[in-house]
Parts: sequence; structure tokens; C-alpha cells
Amino acid sequence: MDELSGKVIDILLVEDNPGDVRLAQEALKESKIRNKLFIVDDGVEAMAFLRHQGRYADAPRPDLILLDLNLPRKSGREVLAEVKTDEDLKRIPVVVLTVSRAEEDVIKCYNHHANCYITKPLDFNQFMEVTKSIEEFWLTIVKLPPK
Amino acid sequence: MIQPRKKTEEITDTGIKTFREVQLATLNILEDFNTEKLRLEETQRAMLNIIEDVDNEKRNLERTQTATFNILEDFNADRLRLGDTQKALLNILDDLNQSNEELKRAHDVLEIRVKERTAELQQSNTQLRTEMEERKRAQENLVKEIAFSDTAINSLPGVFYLFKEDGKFLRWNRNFTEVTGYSPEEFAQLSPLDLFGGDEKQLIADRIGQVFKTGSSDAEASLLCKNGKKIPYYLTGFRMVINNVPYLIGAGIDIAERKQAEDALKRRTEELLRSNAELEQFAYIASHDLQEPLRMISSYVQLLEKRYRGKLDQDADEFIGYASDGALRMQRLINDLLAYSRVGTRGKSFEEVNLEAALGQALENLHLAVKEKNAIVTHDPLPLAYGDSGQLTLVFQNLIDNAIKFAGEQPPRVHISAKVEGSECFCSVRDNGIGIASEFLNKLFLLFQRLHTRREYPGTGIGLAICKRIVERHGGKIWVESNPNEGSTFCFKIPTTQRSYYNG
Repeated sequence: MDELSGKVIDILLVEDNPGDVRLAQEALKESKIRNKLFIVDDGVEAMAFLRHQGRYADAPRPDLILLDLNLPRKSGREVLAEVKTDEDLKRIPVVVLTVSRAEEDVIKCYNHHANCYITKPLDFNQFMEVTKSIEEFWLTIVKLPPK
Repeated sequence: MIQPRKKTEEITDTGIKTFREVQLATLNILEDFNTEKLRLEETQRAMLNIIEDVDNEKRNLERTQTATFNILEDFNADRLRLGDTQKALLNILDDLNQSNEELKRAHDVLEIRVKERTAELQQSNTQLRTEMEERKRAQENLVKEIAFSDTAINSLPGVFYLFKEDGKFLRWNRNFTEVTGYSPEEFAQLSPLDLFGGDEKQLIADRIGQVFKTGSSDAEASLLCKNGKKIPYYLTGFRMVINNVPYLIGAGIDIAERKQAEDALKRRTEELLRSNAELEQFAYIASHDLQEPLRMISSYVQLLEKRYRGKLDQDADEFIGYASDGALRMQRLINDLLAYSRVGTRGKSFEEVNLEAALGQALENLHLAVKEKNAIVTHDPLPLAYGDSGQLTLVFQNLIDNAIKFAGEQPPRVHISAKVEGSECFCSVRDNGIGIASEFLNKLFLLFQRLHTRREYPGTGIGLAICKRIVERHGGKIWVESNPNEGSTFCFKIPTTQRSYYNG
């Protein structure tokens, strides 16, 4: 969309597996949209980032959050719940990106108002496709809320 | 004629004598006449008097006559009235006659009735006599029955009892005293609630009340023996009314063994459930946590392949190829193992299954494969079965998938049929594929057994193992009939009703 050309999208990736982090980076590198990827590796850090606490005082407000569910200290589900009940943060789209296919997880996430739930594909090529889709959908098609 | 003259003289003499006599007589008569005349005048006077009297009498008579006429008139009137009365009397007589007739008729009818009634009474009498004989026989039988039931009650392996609401035991059998350890004299002083501990008294009291209210009830409770020991019993109670008084009559059996078995079963079931849950969790974690590192291997090998294709030597490409392929297969194996384990842990409870619908779902799931290989799938009408419809769908799906996969040169033709025999449903999936050699028939259903290389036919070899597990979960059997190059027919049978199956 014209409004976004030239603009840089800030994406917060909450993921504790460095392998997955690297994969996400590789996939997003090929994105058509300029994006800056911020990475935190557990739920506590994620909330600190979002609340500009401690070393995240100057952190930008992300346009999109990619959230893994299985995180140490504070799980992705808790992060989701907190974000979506925070008046200030709840408008930020949260894409749950996780290995779990379990129906209970899907239901719980949507109950907590996740914007969508995506299962990480096992095949890397598919993972590339999914990342591209996320980026196309959320960053080009969808109108994101103003910061 | 000499005679006449004498005669005439004689006659004249005689005549003159006679005339003189007559004259004398006439003088006499004239005298008499004068006397008579005087007398006649007297008589005339008397006659006149009499005529006067007669006139008087006549007048009297006239008066009398008038009176008589009056009387006669009255008599007439009376006579008329009498006539009416007579008529009335005649009518009454007629009615009387009629009544008499009716009476006679009624009398006749009555006589007939009496005869009938007498016949009936005689019959009743005979019947009564028969009944009395039967009664006598019944009485004799009753005595025998009582002797029989006494013996029967005492021969019962359990306990027997009879009592009134809020009363003591009225009758019991030998077992009851033996089991509880009381003497007959002691037992006679007991009431039902005396045989139960504090916590169960209320339950028993409630159930006793139920028997008297609704007619029957039962309870499981522990009998409290004289020495304090408690024995679990199953007790029944039935209400019986005799002479308007309700009694409770019942029996009980020792269920200590049954209780033990039940407890053992309960514990086993809990263990199994726990074990199942653990297995499920294990399988989930295993697959989940195995997938993670697997994804790393797989993804980075692919990244390597992408990034360095052509930049490294051919060996590198080959090595990367094997690594990639290995990772992919591992993923599939893990998924298959998970599916296999879930046959038991994720099995749904059984209900009526429409096999046609299950087959339909399987074909829908396979529609791409069917289209790709131009397979022709036909089926006979399928009956209803009893089981887990999702799992039965999977059985059809795996069997048909195999049939399509191992088709050989010609387009696959698959035919599904089923028939019900008694309480079992026999299904078969027949194909025109490559067939199976007899030495491999028993290896077919083992886990991960494959008869061909992956190059020939893809697949992990778990499809049939899953089918077998599902069919056996349903309490059935699965087998195959086949010859090389002559196609194969996979058959399985499952019960059609709940009774003939055990939910495992």
C-alpha cells in the first residue's frame, strides 16, 4: 500500500529457539516490505519490550508480533493474554506461530483474541511460504492500526 | 110287546107317586125358599156389609196397591241398581277370571323357573362338593409346601428374613444366626437396624421404608456380627401383605468376594486409565519434542541445499539429499507412530455407524489420489455397524489407498462390499493390483513392514498396522486373500451390536 512504501515495519519476534529465529530472519530477508525484526527470547522480555521497561526504554512499538507459545519464564499464552487485555497494547496484531497442532491450543489462543494461529510447517520450503504469506497478508493487504 | 104296557102302568104309578113327592118336595122347597129368602136377605145384608167391607178392603187394597206400586218402583230402581251392580260384579268377575288366567300362567312360568333353579342349585352343589375336595387336597399340599419352604429357606446359601415395619425379626433362617454369630434366642430380640453399623443404619432404614412404600428395594451394606466383624452383603426386600398387615420378606447374599473383585477391577481400571493417559502424554511429548529438532535438521539441510546448490561439489549435493530425505522420513514415521498410538488413546466410545457414510468420508479424503490414478471405486450397499466411525473411516481409507497405490500397470479398480451374518459384519475391499505372495501374507499387518523398496512404492508401512489395531479394538479380525498378479481382497469383520463386543 502506498502509505507503507518507504516506511519500515517493526516486527517483534518472540521465539526462544535460535534455530527458528534464524529461519524467520532468513525468510523475512526476502520480504518485499522493509522490515526491522526485533527478537526477544522469553515472555518476560517480551512484556518488558512492549512496555518500554529497562533496556527496552527506547524500543519502538511493534506493528506486528510473531509469538511462539512455548517460551521459558512466561509462556506465549500468558503474553497473549496480557497483551490483549492491555488497553494500550491490545490493538497490535498478534500472529501465534507455533509447532503445536493441538486443538486446545488453537481454541485457547483464539479465546484470548489472537489475530490468527499458524502452525510452523515441518518442511522448510513450506515455512518460507508461510512467512511470505504472513508478510504479504499482514503487511500489505491488511490495514494495520495506527501506532 | 107285552112288557111295555106293564111298564107304562108302572111308570104312571110311579109317576103319580113321584108327582106327589115332588109336590111335597116343592112345598118343602118353597118353605126352604122362604127361609132361604129370609136367609138370603140376611145374607144380602151381610153381603152388603161384606161389600162395604170389601170396598173398604178394596180401598185399603188400593192403598196397599199404591204402596206396593211404590215399593215396586223402588224395587225396580233397586233392581236396576242391582243390575248395574250385577254388571259391575260381572266385570269384576271377568277381571278376576283374567287375573286368574294370568296367575295361572305366572304360576306355570314360576314352576319352570323353580325347576331350572333347582337344577342350577344341584349343579352348584356338585361344584361345591368338588371344590371342597380340592380345598382338602390344597390343604394337604399346603402342609407339604410349608415343610418344603421351611427346608428351602434353611437350605438357602444366603440369609433369609421376615419382619414388620418397626418390628423385630419374625422369621429367619439358620444361616442368618450362624453368619452373625447370635444364638436363636438372642436373634429373636434383634431388630433389623441392630445388624448395621452407625454409618449404614440410615441407609438401611431408608431402604426398608422404600420397601414398605413402593413394594421392593435392595441395598448393599455390611452386616455387623456379634463379634464386631463386618461382612459386606447384598440384601433384597419385598413387601408382602397378609391379613392387611404389611411385612418385609427378603434374602441376602455374601458379596465379600464380589466386592473384592470390584475393588480390584476398579483399581485396575484406574491404573489402566492412568497408564493410558501417561502413554498419551508420552506419545504427544515424544512426537512434539522429536519434531522440534527434526524440523531444525530438516529446515537447515534444506537451507543448505538452497543456499549452496551448485556451490559445493556433487558429493555435497548427494549428502545433503540423503540427509534431507532422512529427516523427512523421520517426520513421517513420528506422525505415523502417533497415529498408531492414538488408535487406543484417542478412540471414541462406540455407537451405531453408517458404513456407507464412513466409506464416503474415506473416498472424499482420497479423492485426489483417486483422480490422479484414474481409479474406479465401486461398492455394494453397506449395512450399519457398531463402533467408532472415525476409525472405521480410516480403515477404509488405508485399505483403498493401498489398493490404489499397489495397482500395477492397469488403472486401479477397487470394489467394496459387506454382508451381515448373525451379529457380525463382514467387509471386503477387493482390488485388481499386484497381489501378495503367500509367504508374506502374515507379515503384512506388522508395524512398519514393507514388502517393496521405497523407490517402487512409497509409504512407511504403517497403514495396515493401524487397520489391524482399529479392527481389533472393535473386537474383530482382519485378514487378506491374495495371489501375485491377481489382485488382493482385504477382509475384516466387526460385531454389529453392543452385546457381542468388548470396548477395549
